[in-house]
Amino acid sequence: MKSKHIHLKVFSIDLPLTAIVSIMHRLSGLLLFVCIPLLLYFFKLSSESNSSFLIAEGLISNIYIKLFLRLVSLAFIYHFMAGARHIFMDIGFCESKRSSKNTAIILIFIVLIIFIVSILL
Amino acid sequence: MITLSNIGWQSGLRDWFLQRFTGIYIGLYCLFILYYFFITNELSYINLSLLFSSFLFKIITIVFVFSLTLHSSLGLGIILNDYIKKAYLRIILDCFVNIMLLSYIFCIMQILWGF
Repeated sequence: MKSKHIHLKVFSIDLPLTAIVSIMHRLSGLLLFVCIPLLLYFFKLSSESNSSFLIAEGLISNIYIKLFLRLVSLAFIYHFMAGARHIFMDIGFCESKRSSKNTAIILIFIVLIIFIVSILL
Repeated sequence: MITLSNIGWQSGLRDWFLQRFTGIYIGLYCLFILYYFFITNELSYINLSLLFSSFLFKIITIVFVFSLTLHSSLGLGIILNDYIKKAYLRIILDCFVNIMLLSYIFCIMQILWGF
């Protein structure tokens, strides 16, 4: 039987911005899940005593760990804001093609602004 | 017409609601944590143990951890279902994800009881 041609090769479709925003939501969620053990480890270190808290602080000041945690925080901010956008649309706002594209652009700007502010703080 | 009352609770609607409610709880919890360390001006051991030694906040945190577990379990389940074609591989990965999440619950309880 000849199957109906269904094109689902993600990288060869011209994805609209809203689809990219949605896939990034999934990717950031996956990254956050993978990073749970690391975050748990830091939480355990900082919960034990004042000295192990300072050890955790020392570890975080390592440039590579710091960069990685910045990436995780970017993923969290993104996942948070994109999730808020999804719930906003579930409630019934900005559901049309045009307004969802606008909210996707706004989302990216807000995430970048929050991320830059969080680095500067 | 599709309404809440005639599509059935087990149609995925329950997962859909759980995903959103746990998401909102997780978001509010994280905002509170940020707010707390913002008003206390300093991320220090004393502030951390002050917050987590409160019994009420321990309960709030345990609920947060369970929310996170449900949220990740549902989210990862959806991702695996969409991108892993082989059924046995998908089931193995899904079991692995859920076992990891359950072990994280134990870890966080161990940490919380230490405060």
